[in-house]
Formats: sequence, C-alpha cells, structure tokens
Amino acid sequence: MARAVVLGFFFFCSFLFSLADGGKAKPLFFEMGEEYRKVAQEQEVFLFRGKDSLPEHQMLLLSDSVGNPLLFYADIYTPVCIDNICKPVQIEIYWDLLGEYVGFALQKNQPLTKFDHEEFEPDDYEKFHALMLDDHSVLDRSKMEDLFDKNAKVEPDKEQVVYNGVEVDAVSEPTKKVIRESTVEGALYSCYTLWHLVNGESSRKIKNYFSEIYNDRFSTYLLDSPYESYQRFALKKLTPEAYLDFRPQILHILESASPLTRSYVLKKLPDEDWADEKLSEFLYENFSNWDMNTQTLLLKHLEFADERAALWLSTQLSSMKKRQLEMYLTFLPKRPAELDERIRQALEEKVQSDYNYTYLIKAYLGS
Amino acid sequence: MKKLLLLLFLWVWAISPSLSQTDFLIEAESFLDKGGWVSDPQFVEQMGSPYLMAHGMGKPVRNASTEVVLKEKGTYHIWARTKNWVPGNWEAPGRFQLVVDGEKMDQVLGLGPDWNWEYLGEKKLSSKSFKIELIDLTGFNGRVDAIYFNQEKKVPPTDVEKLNAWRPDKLGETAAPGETKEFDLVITGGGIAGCAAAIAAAEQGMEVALIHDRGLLGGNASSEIRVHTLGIYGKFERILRMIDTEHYPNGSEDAKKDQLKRDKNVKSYKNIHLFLNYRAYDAVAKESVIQYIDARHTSSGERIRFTSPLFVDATGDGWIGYWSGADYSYGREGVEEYGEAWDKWGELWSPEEPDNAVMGSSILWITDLTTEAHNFPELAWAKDVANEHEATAGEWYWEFSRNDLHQIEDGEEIRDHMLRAIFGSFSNAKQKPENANYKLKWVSYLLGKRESRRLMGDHIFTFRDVLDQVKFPDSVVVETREVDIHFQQNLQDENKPDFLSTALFYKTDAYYIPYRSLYSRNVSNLFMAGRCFSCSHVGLGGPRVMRTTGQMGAAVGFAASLCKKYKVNPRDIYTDHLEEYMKLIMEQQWRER
Repeated sequence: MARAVVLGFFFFCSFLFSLADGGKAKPLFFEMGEEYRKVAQEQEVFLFRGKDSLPEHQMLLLSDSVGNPLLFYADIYTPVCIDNICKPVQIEIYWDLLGEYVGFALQKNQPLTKFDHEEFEPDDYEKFHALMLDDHSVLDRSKMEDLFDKNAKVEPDKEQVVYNGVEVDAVSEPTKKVIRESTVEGALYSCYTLWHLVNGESSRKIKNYFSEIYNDRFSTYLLDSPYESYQRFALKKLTPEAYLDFRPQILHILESASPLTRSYVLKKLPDEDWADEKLSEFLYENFSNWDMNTQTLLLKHLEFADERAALWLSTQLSSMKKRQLEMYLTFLPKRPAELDERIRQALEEKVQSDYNYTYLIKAYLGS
Repeated sequence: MKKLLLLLFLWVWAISPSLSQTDFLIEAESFLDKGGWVSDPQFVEQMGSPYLMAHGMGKPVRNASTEVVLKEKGTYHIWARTKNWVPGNWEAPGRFQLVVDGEKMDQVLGLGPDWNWEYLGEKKLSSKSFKIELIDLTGFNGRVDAIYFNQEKKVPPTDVEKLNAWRPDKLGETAAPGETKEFDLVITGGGIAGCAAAIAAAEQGMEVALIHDRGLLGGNASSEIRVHTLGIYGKFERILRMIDTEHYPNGSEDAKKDQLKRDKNVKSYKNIHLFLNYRAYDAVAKESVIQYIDARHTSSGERIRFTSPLFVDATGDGWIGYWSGADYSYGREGVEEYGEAWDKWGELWSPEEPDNAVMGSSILWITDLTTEAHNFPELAWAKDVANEHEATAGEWYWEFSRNDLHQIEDGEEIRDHMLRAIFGSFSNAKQKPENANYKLKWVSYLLGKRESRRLMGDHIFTFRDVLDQVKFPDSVVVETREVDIHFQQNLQDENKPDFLSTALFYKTDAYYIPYRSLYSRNVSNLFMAGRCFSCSHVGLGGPRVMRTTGQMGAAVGFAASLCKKYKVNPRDIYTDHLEEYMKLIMEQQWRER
C-alpha cells in the first residue's frame, strides 16, 4: 500500500514535469561527434519501459532536415526506489540507430545525485557514462540483491579482492570489486535502474524499429559512416555478391575495423571475388600488417586469390607462425622444381635467416 | 616390497636395451627418481610420448635420475629428444644438461626449434651399470622425451609417424598389450563426469574400470588444474557432493582439500578399479562396436587391454569416439544450422558462416604476497606474447584460442603460449617496485580445456533446447546456469593481449539435456559424458561446467547398469526401457548412501 501511494505521487509529479518540458539540453557526454547538431525534426516512435516496469517513456526518432534518421532520444523521468523509498531522476538519453547508448544530457538545475542527495562530481559523470556504454556490464546478469559476493571482501585501503587471505583478480560471478569499479559510489541503485533503462527494452525496440524502416538507400550512408557497428549492420543487410559494388568502402572497412568485422567480411566474400585484382593486392601485399586471425583466413583462401598472391606472401614469411607457414607451403606446388623462380629465391633466402621455422622451409625445398 | 619388485621389474623392462646389442632407448618419463621434473602426458598423440618437464616457475628444479643396465660395454653416441619451446633471438628458456656415468656432457640441450634428437656426443661406457641425470639450468620448462644410445651414430627418426613405428621396436614392445582385463563397464577419463559415471555404475553393482592419465582424479577440478565446479546437482546431489568443489576462486589452494575428498570417496568403492596414470591410446571397433581399449602407463609404459560390452568416453577430447569412428564435430556451426542466434551479439555468439573457432583453454596461476622482496627475471622470450601486460594473479579469462590452432592438435603450443603470457606478464609486473614482494606460488602446466571434439548422439543438444525450454521424456540432466560463450578480447580490439578472453552470458530458466545426447549415434556401445557429449558449440556454453557434466556422468552410469541387466546397448534403454530408467534416475534424489 505504502509503495502504491509513493508511486502514485511520483506519477503525479512526472505528469507535472512533462508539462514543463523546456527543450533538449546540450549533451554532457556524446560518442558520435556533433551528430546531434544536425537534428532538425523529431518523431514519436514507440513507448518503452525499464526493468522495474514502472513508468513508460516516449522514444523519439531524430532526423536531419531532409528526413535522414540520425539518433533515437528519450527524455526520461523515473523513480529510483529502494525499500519503497523513491527519488526521481531526470535525464535525456541518446541512442544510435542500432539501439546503442551514445550519450546523455541534463537539464539545467537537474544534476544527478547520489542517494544521500550529494551531487555527482565530474568524475562520477564520466564513470556513469562509461557504465551506460558497457552493454556487457555485470549489471546485466545481476539482480539487485546479488550484486555483492559474500565470499569476497575488499580491503579498505586496497583495490584487491581477497579470499581467505589470498589475493584474487576476480571470481567467476559478479564481485564487489567489479561492481565498485564500474558504478558510481553511493549511486549504485541509480546506476542499476538507468543501465537497464538504457540497455534493456529501449535498445531492443530501437533495433527492431530501425530494421523495419531500413532500405537500400541507407547502405551507402552506413558503410561510409565512421562507426563499425553501422558498417557491420549494412554489410549484414547486403548480399555478399554485392560487396564489391562497394569496393572502396569494403577496403576501408577491412583496413579500419576490428578483427571481428574483418573476418565477417572475408568469411562471407564469395570465392570468385577473391581473385579481384585490387582486393587481392590490398589483402596479400599487406599480409604482415593484418592480425593473426585475418592472416589465417587469407592463407585459407589462397587458392581463390589473384595468382600473384603466393609471390607477395613469399617476402612476408617472417610474420607467419608455424601452422600458417605450413598452410603456405602446402599451397605451393608439391614439387619444388615447379616453383615460380622468384618464390624459390625468396624461400632460399629465408632459409639463411634466423626465422624460427626455417626447418620447415628446408624440408619443403628438399622434398 | 611387492611394489618395489614391480617397480624394479618395470624399470628394467623400460630401459632394457633393444634386441640389437648396439643401441638402446630410455624413456625420460620412466626415470625412477624424477626429482623436481614433472611427467607430462598431454600431447602424446601429437609428439609421440609422455615427457619430463622442468616446471620450476623460474627456479631450476631438482635433478632427475635413473640407473641403466647395459648389455654391452663400449663407446656410444648419445641423443636426447627435446625441443626449444620458444625458438627465437634469445637464449632458449628450457635449457638442460645430461650427466652420464658421472660425467656432465658439455652439450647444452633444449635448443632445436621443434621436437627432435639433439646430439650430445660420444661416451665410453666401461661399466654395465651406470646412472643418468638430468640437470635443469633454468626452471623454465625444459623438456625431454627420451635418451638414445647407439654405437653406430645412426640418428633416430625425426618424423613422428616413423618415430612411433621405431620406438616400440627399441623398447621391445609387442603389437598388443600383454595383459587383457575385462569389466562390465570401461570409463576413460577421470574428470568429474568419469568419476560420477563410475560411482553410479558401481553403486548398481557393476565392475567398473576407470582409466585416468593423471595420478589425481577430477580433471579440470583437480588440484592440478583447479577450476571450481559450477552448475547444479540435478537428481544426483548425493553422488556429486562426493567429488565436486567448493566455490573458491579458480586456482585456489583449497582445491587440495576437495582433491582428498574426491580421491577418498572414489577409492572407497571396491568395484571401481582405478587405473591411475594410464592413458588410453587406442579404441578398436568392429562393425561399429568397440571391442577393446588399449592404455599405457604414463611412466612405466606398461600396457593393458580393456574389454567390456560397454564403454564411456569421458576424456573431454572425445578420444575414444574418435578412435572408434564415432561421428563428431569441432568448431562453430553456422547460425542457421540449429537456429542459435542471439541478435545482440551476432557473430560473437553464433556466426553466419561455420568456422573452426572454439572456446579456448586456460592455465590458472596464483601468487603469494610475502613480507620480503623476491626477484623474477626479465624474459625476452615472453615479450612478444605478454608485451606490456602486467599481472600478479590469473583467473578463468587467461584463455587462449586462435583460428590457426586446434585445441587438441596444437595443445602444446597453446599451453606454451599461456606459460609465456603468465611468466611474461608477471615479469612485467615485477619490474615495478610496488610488486617486489610478490612471488609466483603455483602455475599449472596442465591445460584446462573448455571445448574440443563433440561426439554426436541421437540428439544434439543446442541453444534452441534452452530457448524453447524443451522438457524431454528422457531429461536426465537439468541446469539453470547461464549459457556463456567465450571469445578472445582481441577480436573486438586488436590491441588487447591475445591470451585474455571475455564471456557473453545468456540468462535462462531451467533447461534439460536428454539421455539421447549421452550415447553415440553410430558406435553402438559407446556412452559419452563431459564436454564431449552431443551438442553444438553454443549448446556446450551452459552445460560444460562440472556439476552439469557430473550429472551426465551419473546418468550414464545408471543407464549402463540397465544395459547390463538387459544385455542391451545404450540406445535400447531409450527405446525399450525408458520408464524403468527414468524411475531409477528420479529415485536418486531421495537415496542415501
């Protein structure tokens, strides 16, 4: 009953607050450059809730002057409750087009506060933003009541977790250390409530919504964007046969994206496209600059690549680990007599070097 | 006394010169006094033999030694099969020397880039009985497989296949083991799944052989690897409490207490016949029925053939299934194959295209913070793995997997990579004054594997079974733990160390594993329990932890007892005796020992 009264009062305040909406504040933290400055129009798209299923919040889609979608946005006014005592929090949240949190803003005179009503310090805001960005936070798999590991205790003056007198880095389940490191001290409950608001239903609904409105005209925009998640989304929507229609973008993505995205592109690229001269040259001439997993994928696709690829690789053997060198040597003609003269020369030179696996090259040349 | 005589016999047998008078081979793992060297049988299938390793965490270990009895005095050329486990432009980390008949041989060993015979020189042996000693020079994992004496200076084979054919000849081994033992049930692998299977079957009156390649039971939960057991007990709390662990931090010394409990409990069953330190090396099937398993003692080399109507593969790597021709899979299925998508994590969870990626293996390690300063050297040979990473403790996420490496075939490289990561990161930390009092306390040398071969059963357990909360008529395992899938941190950020992983957790209500995932679909008398049970890559994510694999083991043990009762194969329990089987399973939760 007490809870119902408290919440009833809260919703009344929330209603009054919504009438007094004073426009968007400048974001305090924002991950996407100046994207919010291009916003020219907004559209109400759906309602969403947080983990506690308390009030519903309105999600807006923000677009530029010609209607290109830019961001999702919600002006949130929510209670944070412990043991039936609630205090309001007001915050404006921005998400990207794929439902990833990108920043927040606060109205003037509405700072975030800790549970003892002390205002957030600048460092606290930074920590809060980092926590919201972490969509893999331990808060995701924690219930409020089991945020603390009873077996682990933090020594007051140290950052170590100690178990039975022995220091440990962490235990498998959420630990006090991890929680303490990732949340704002004194504001655990606000952090918990807002993290689930930001990374829960809101994020899922944005993903679904954007997928529904997505069409081919977005491909170039997303592939050209500097954001890896956008690039990957667009790649997923494209058929692999169309990849080379976007050759400049694909080459740029291979160069700038993480190994995960690189391997996504390379695994999906149709076999016949590997022979593309520009692509082959780009991939195999730069072999030694790629991460190990990408290098291995290149070696696995040697048979489909431009025929000069084996030659380009012959001068980059130093960056090959044992299994990779074995893959390369297996690709070469079984009889070394049939080797391209330039490759043979490169191999023979390598045998004279201090490369760790010269014995494998010797064995091949002697076969 | 009897034991001493047996040891003496084994030693003479192991080191006996071959039929040829002019050469003889000594297996390092058969040394009578291993000193501080450890016996490592993890990579036998790849490099040919268990070997001795000087795992001193940076401090040279005590000498290993053995006595040799010659048939013929004379001058011998001597080779040691060894390797430089980190070849490169630095002094090899695992250097050692040999003392033969009181003379330290000049040649330092452990210098060649792969397993090979390194030549020590000539030595005149004027006495028929003499001693060989291994002197570790570094404490950093020097290793030796065997020592070979030959009067003709004929280099032994390098190629592993040729070596595998040559070695038995030099040791005077016959093709088949001399001894055959018959049991109601033969379980290979004494991890938590194998132990649970043995207890369940033994309690039902079966004569059980439990073959395990270490001296301590428990596999990943043992005090040699020290992963704590996770998951729930299901219907088998009574059995699993005998063999599981407390929830201490991974790597904790508390593992030793649980080790004692486990060993004592399993050994208390008179009808569990333990074959500790025996590693299976073959399983032969005829018309898809396993006829026997051959195993070899990891020190003495003694071999035993095990026959039985029923076998359990609890090896983790699925070796019994592999050798006997059971269907298996390795790597990640494409997302569409079983419908295992989790959109939030896309490729990291289940890839659009199948690939050979699997979760990695870990080496756990702990340190002591003491009251005095300890030195630890800077390690050039660890630098290109550890780079600038600093650490004074490890945990589960010290894990390694890479797409050019196979968790079984490249196990030694994976283990060695982790050792370089650990020693290198600790060394980096030790260069800081504030870490002066840290000391390495324990570093495992045994890989804690998460995933390798998965044998295929009549049912393949997948993430869909979790999502759909399927309750099977033959649900024998239940779990509530999250499904968690690991991947290397450097996939998302290539600046991260390649030896650290992270995990994705899918929270769920209870899910069930059917009995049909616990026997082979094409080898008719083979059960499997543990991480090699029938599942997809994502399916393995939840139930790969050890209380869950223990449930699998117990379920298999009870099924085996019904197979014996009705003289049938595992599949027949599902088709013809399911009611009785499920009743037996349900009864377990009320039963007291």
